[in-house]
Amino acid sequence: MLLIMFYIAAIIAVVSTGAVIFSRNPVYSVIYLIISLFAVAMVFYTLGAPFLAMAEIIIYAGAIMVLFLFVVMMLNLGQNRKDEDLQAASAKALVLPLTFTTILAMLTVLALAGAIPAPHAVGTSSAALGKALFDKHFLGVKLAAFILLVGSIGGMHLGRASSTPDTKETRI
Amino acid sequence: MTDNGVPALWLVPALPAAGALIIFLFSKFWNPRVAGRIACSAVGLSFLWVLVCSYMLITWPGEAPRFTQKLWTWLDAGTITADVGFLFDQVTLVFTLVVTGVGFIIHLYSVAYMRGDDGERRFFGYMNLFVAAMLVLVMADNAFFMFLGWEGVGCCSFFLIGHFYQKQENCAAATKAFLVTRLGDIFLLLGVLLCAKLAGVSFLDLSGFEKVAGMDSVPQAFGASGPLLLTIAGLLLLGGAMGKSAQLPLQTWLPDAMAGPTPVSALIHAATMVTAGVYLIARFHVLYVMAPVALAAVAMVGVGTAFYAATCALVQTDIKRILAYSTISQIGYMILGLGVGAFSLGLFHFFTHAFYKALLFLAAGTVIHALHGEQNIYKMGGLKASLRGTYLVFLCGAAALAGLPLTAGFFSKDAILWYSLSTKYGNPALFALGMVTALLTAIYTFRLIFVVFHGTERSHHHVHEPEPLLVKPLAVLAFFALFAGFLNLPHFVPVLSAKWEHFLEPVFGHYHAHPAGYGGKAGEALAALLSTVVSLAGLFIAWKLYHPGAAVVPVPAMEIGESETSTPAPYKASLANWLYRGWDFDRAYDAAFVRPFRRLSGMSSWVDRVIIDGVFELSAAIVRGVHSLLLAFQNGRLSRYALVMLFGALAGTIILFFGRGW
Amino acid sequence: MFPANEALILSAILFSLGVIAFIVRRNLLYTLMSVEIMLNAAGLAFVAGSAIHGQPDGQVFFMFILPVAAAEVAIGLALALLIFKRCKTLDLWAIARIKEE
Repeated sequence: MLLIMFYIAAIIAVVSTGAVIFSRNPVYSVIYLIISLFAVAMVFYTLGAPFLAMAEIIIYAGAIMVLFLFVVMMLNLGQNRKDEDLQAASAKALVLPLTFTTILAMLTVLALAGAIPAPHAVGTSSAALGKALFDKHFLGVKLAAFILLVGSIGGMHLGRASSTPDTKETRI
Repeated sequence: MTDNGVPALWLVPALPAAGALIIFLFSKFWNPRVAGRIACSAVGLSFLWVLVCSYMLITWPGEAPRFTQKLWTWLDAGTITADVGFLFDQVTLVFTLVVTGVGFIIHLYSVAYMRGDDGERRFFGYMNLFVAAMLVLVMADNAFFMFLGWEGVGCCSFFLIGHFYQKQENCAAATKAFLVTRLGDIFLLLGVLLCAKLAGVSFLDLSGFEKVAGMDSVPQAFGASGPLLLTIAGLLLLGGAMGKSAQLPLQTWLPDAMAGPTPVSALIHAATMVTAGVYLIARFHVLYVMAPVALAAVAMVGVGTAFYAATCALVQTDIKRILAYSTISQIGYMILGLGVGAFSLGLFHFFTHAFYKALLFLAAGTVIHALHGEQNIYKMGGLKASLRGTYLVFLCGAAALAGLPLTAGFFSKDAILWYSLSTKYGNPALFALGMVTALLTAIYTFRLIFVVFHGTERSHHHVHEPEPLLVKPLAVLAFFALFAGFLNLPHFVPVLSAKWEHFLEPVFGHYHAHPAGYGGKAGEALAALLSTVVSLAGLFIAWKLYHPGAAVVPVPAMEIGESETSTPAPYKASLANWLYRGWDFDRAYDAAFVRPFRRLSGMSSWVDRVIIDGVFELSAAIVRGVHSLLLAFQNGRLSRYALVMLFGALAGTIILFFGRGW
Repeated sequence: MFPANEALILSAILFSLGVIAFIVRRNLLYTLMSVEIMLNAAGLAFVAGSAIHGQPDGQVFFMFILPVAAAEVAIGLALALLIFKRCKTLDLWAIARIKEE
């Protein structure tokens, strides 16, 4: 049952991610990405990480992607202008990246194939996760807090500068 | 006052320092006149405080009194410690009295002299700072703290010589003064450091030098022998004195330093700063007595400089340059006095010289002021009538300088000459050269008088009456120029004889040399007679050569507006021109140091441009080549970068796999 | 039994898709989105690793990836807005051309 759920979620994730790449309308792309993230959250669930599944939906899909949507709306990028940003129109441009990534992905899978032990049967409870997070990795939590602080300060500063586009500050 | 009744010595330099601080910080909010008043009152208060200290020192009970005051420890570097501390003994008393007393009169004079100058506040600020630094120099209780004052006065001298900085020559003169004295300062610093190694830097106890003199091998200085080290130290300190006191061969800066305002010349380049070398040698008298070679060098430098500068003064045409050369010459006498072991007499000549030379400079300043800046004596003439008061005080100063009998200069110079003959360090050659110099001194002094004040008026300017402040303070100096000599009458005089020597005995003690042989008091009387004759002969010769009717010496050919430096040869006789240029020392230095240095710097510039820059340019070219190669990837397209990164990741993964034997 | 190996393969595929998006799209917004895809794929690999080893540390690392992604988006989007204000476009090639001029 879990396996079937996993496969359905995985297929949805891959397809919607592909749609993100090849969609011409940025709004659609963002929506597809949200779908993809929901699917990945499902995958998390099947991997025995329900807390992360929730976090994925709330933070990634709920906060980050909405921010993207916001910007897309704000810049009025809704209707795509004549093919300027979809280079994929020429199949030639896809050749090299596709080859490289395929080889890379295959190599990775190949490398992991023999080396991976059988998965554990028991999932990780939220309690265990919280304990690990605030006990063993507490320093990392603080660093993450700093990153968020820096991110918010940087966003505020850039946003302030953007309100006066012709001052020197914006000409970085 | 401090606990044990010693007066607060630090107040003496602190008052002018505070004056300078106030002037620099606040005077721009006030009328420029206020700066002068602050400066005068700061120095005046300092003078009063010195009087209090002096009175207390003289009336202090007990043998060999002296005041010391340690404020805090300044340096504490292993074996060497130096305090911020003050020493007030008889030598310090003489110097501080002159610095603040004469300084006060010169400050008063400056108030009138500098009126209306753009840099009036700056001028008074630096003057006060100078006085503070000079007081630190003479009051410091150790050589390092003294060095601080030593550099301070050099710095202020630089600023004040360049006071009229709008003119290029003045800046050049300031730079020259600074660099030449700086050269001496390096010797001084080396000497002080060597002394610090040998016997410590404190002036409170100099007996360490005596101990060193007795050692065959000094452990703290590579085991060299004591007398040798003391000789080296003495010569190094003499080098410092040469620079600051404009002695041969570092004398070339002082005549050029006359570019500064005249009060500066009077205070710094006649009365006080240039005598720092005299103070230095007097302070280190123990060292010099222990190193007779160095002492002999001091005497020779002194008498040589005295003679040299007197010959140069004979032919100068700029009134201030004449006085500058005469200053060099007179300091030569002081150094000669120190060099024959008559330390107190060197100081006595400093004392009298400070009065009459400051007087001469200030009076010359009044003349220049009255003639709207004219300094060429051949364009003055006949000022006796129009500048009566100035003429009188100038005459007093000139009499003292020429050593006319019973003036201050007569007694101090005569005593030095007598000691240069009769002490164990003296010899007839020093005496003879000193006498010849005395003759020359009388000649050039009265040449100045006759050309400037007598005869017909040659000035094209209207001579305006100087204001009282430019003449009245000079009367005080004139009084001392005439009568200060009575502080130290020769031994053969029954009353008041050798008072000064006795006064300074607590400091110099048995290190002071005493006359021996040559007939004792009778010989001394004869020498005094000889020097009377010599000075009167000089007066007579000057009259013969330069009196208004005489046309023996041709007037030098100088066009109007030509400056001293732009006319290297105003005379017909080449000897006169050679003397005029100060024995061509400047040219010799130019040839010996400046031009080779230029050539050297030209060569190093070539090395720098071609070889060193070449190396860097080559590496830059390599980098540029690599860069242009890499530029192909840097096209600003993010996707291209990502592709390259992807390729790199792929390559890395493959290498990893094959590295693991897959 | 968790499908952890399959999840690893899925994460490889998603990551490859992110890389391709990063390379082929010239729009700055898409570039940022593809970075999100790649970060998410990496997080998926961590979670799979956590499932394989039965340890919570992999999940903890996903918790660290979350703030990194959030901060990156916050600053990246602010910069994108600024660039759009200056250059009137988000086309990276056009921006590169503007820079050269």
